[in-house]
Amino acid sequence: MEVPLILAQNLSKTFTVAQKDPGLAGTLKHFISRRYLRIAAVRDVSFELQSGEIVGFLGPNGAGKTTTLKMLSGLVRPSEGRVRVLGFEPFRRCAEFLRQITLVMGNKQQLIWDLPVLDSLRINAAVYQIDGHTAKERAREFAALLGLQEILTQPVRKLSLGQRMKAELMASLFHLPKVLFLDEPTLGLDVNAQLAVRDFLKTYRDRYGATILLTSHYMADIEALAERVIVLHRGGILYDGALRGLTDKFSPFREVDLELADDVAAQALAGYGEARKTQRRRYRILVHRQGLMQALAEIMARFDVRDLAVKEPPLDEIIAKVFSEGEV
Amino acid sequence: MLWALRKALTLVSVYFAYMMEYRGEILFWMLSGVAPFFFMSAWSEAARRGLTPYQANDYARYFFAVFVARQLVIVWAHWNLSEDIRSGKLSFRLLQPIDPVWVYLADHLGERGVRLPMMFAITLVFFWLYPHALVWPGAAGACLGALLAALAFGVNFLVSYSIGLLSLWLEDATEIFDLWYVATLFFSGMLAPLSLYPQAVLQVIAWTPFPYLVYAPAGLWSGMEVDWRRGLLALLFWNLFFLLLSRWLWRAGRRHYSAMGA
Amino acid sequence: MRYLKLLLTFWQTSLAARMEYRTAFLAAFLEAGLEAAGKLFGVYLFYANGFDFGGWRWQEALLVMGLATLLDAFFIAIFNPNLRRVSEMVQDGRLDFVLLKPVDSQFWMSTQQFAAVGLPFMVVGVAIVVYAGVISGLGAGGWALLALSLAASLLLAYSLAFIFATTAVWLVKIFNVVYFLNTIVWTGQYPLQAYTRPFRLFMTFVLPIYFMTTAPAELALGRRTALWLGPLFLAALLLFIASRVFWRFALGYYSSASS
Repeated sequence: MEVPLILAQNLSKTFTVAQKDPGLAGTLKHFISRRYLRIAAVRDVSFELQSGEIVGFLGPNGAGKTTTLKMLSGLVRPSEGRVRVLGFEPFRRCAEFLRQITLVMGNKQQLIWDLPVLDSLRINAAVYQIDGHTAKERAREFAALLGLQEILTQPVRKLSLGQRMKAELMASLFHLPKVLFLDEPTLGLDVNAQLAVRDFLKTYRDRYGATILLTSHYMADIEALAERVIVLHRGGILYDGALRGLTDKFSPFREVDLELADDVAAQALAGYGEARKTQRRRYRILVHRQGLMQALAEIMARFDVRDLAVKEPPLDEIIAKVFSEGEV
Repeated sequence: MLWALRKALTLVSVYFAYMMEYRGEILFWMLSGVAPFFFMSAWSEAARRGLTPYQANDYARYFFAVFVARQLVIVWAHWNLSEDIRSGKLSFRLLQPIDPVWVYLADHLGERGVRLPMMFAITLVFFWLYPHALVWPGAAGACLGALLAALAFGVNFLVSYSIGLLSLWLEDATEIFDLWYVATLFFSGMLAPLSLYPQAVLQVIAWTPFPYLVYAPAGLWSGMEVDWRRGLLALLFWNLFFLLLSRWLWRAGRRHYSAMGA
Repeated sequence: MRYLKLLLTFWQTSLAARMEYRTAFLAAFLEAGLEAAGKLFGVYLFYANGFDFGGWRWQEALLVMGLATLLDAFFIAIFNPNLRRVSEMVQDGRLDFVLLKPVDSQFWMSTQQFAAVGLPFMVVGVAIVVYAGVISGLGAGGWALLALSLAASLLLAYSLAFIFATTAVWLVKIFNVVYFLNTIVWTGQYPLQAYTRPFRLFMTFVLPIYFMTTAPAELALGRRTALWLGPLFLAALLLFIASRVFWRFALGYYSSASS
C-alpha cells in the first residue's frame, strides 16, 4: 500500500490556561498565585490523507480544528501521538519540509502592512529561493487568477478585506507548496470574494496537484471543494468519510414538499413526521428515511396530491443540528 | 552560498523600503538620542570653570562619538518578538524555511540604511556648531572603532533577541530590556568618559559587557585612552555568550510556544 | 464627580490588564532602583570632579534630581501610555468611538490608561524628594511652595506632551515624539545652571524644562521669591489652554478629513 502523504496517529494536545476572576480582588489574587486549567484541545485523533485529496475539516469553534492544523504544520508539538507529513516530523521544521507546505490563517496576516504586496512577495521569493524571473512570472499568473493585477503596487493597508485575503493566499502559495493547510481562508469575505478564492484553490490543485486540508465556517466552501470531510467535535473525530455519507449518517430525515388540491390543517399530516404549512395548500414534512416510501404511498392514497418533491435537508442545517445535539 | 547572500540582500532591501515608510518616526527616535549632547554641555561647563582633567573641546569630541556609537547599536528585536508573539505573526515566521532571527536582523540592518543619512545630517549641524570638535582619529582608529561598534551591536542585538524570546514565557518581556538599557546608560560611558569614573566602579563593571558597548568605540574615535585589545576580546566573548544563550532560549521557547497553542 | 469615577474605573481596568505581567512589574521595580542609583552616581561624578552645577549644594541638586524622577514617573505611568494611544486611535479610527461618548474627549484621551510599571518610579521619586528636602532643611513654607510649583510643572509637562500628541491627527505615527519628550525631561535631572549658556536658553525658552524641575526647587529653597509662583502657574495655564484649543482645532480637521 502507498504511504499516506499525511498521517496522524492518536494525536492529542493539552494546553494549560491561566484563570482569572474579574475585578480588583481577582486581579490581585491572580497577581499573587495563579490557577491553571488543563484543556484537552485534541483527543486521540487519527486519520490519513493520500496525495491529491481535498479534505474538509468541520466542527464548531473550539472543536480542535486549528490545533490539529498547527500540529500538522509544525507550529504545535503534539502532547501525544505521531504526525508525519510528506514523511517529515513537522515540529522539527526541516527546511525541506517547510518548502513544501503552507498554512493560511484567515484571521491572521503575514503581509507587511505598510508596503505593497510585491515587496512581501520579494521576501518570500528570497526565503524560498525562487529566482527573479520565475517569481515575476508566478506573480503575474497568480494575480491574473485572483484578479489582483491592479493592486499589487499598493500598500497592504489600503486594500479591502477581500483583496487582502487574496493577496495573503498569493503570498502563502507563492512557493508552490504540495500540501496546503487552510484555516478559514474565506473568513469574513463577501460571496464574490469567496467564489474567487474557491476557484483559485481549485485551479491551483488541478495545475499543481496539491493536497489540501481546509476548515471553513461556510458549508459552501466545503461542498465546492472537498470530496471527503472529517468532522471534529470536542477534540475527537465524529465522522470521517465522503461528504454525501455525512447526510445519511447524521440526517436520517428527508424533506418532503407537498402541494395538495385541498386546504387541510398541518396536523392532518403530523402522523408522518414534523409537518409545517408553508403556504396555502403547500406543506413541508420531515420524514424519517426508513419510513419514507411507505409514508409517500400513504400520503398519495389519502390526499389529492398536486405536486410532490423529496429533498435532502441543507448540509449546514444538518451540521448545526449535529453539533447542538453533541454526541450522536 | 549565493542563495544565502541573495536572501540576505533581498531581506535587507525590503526592510529598508519598510523603514523608509517610518522615516519620520526614525528621525524623532534619533532626536531622542540627543542626551549625550546635554552631558557634553554640563561637562563643558565644568571644564570652563577649570575643574576637570579634560578641555571643553575634548568633551565635545567624546560625546559626539558617544552619540554616534549609540545610534549604531540601537536595537529593538525584543519589541519585534513580543509583538509577533502577541499578534501570532510568529507562526508565519515559523512556517518559513528560514530562522526568524535573520528576519529581525535584516529589519535592523535595513533601518540603519535610513538612520545613517539622517545621522550624517545631524553630524553636519554639530560640526557647524562645534567646528573645533572635528578631529579625524586616523584611519586605524576609525576602522577599529567601527569594528568595535559592530561587535557592540552584535551583543546588543543578541541580548535584545534573547529577552524577546522570554516573551514566549512571560507574555511581555519588553520591560526587562529596559533594565539592560538603563544599565547601559550608566555604565557604558554615557554619563562621562569612563576615565573619570572611580577605580572601584571601573573594576566592577569591567566584568560586565557595559563599558565596551559605548566607551570602547567612542573612546577610540575621540582619542581617549582605550584598551582596544581588551575591548575586542570582551566583545567577542559576550557575543559568543549571548549567541549560545539565545540559541538555547530559542529551542526551549519553541517548545513552550507550542504548549501555549502557537 | 462623574469624571473622578470615570478616572478610577479607567485606572482600575488598566491596572488589571497590566498586572497580568508580573515580571514586567518586578523588572520595573529593579529598573526604578537602578535608574535612581545611576542618576545619583551621575551627580556624584560631577561633585567628585569638583563641579557644583554652578552653585548648588549637593543635597539641593538631589532635590532637582528627585523632581525629575517624579516627573519621569508621571510620564511613564500616565502621559506616555495615553499619548501613545492618541496615535493608535487615530491610526485605526477608534477615535471615532471616543468622540461619540458624552465625555470631554481630551479628558478621555489623557486618562484612559494607567501603567502600573510607573508606580515604582513614583515611589522612588517621592523618596528622593522627601529625603533631599529634609536634609536641605525645607520648612513648612518650603514644602508648600514645592507642592504648588510641582503641580504647576506637571500641568506644564502634560500640556506640552498633549500638544505633541495632538499632532498625530496630521502625522498619524508619532510614538517616538513621546520618546523625544522623555529624553528632554530626562535632561532636567541637573539644575539649569549646570549647562552652558546656549543649552540654558534652549531649556528655558524653547522646551521649558527649566520650569519643570529647577524652578520648583529654586522656589522651595528660597533662591527665588514666592512671587515667582504666579508666572509659573500662568505659564502652565496658558499652555494648558493652548493644548485644549489645539485639540479642538485638530478634531475639526480630523472629522472633516475622515470618511
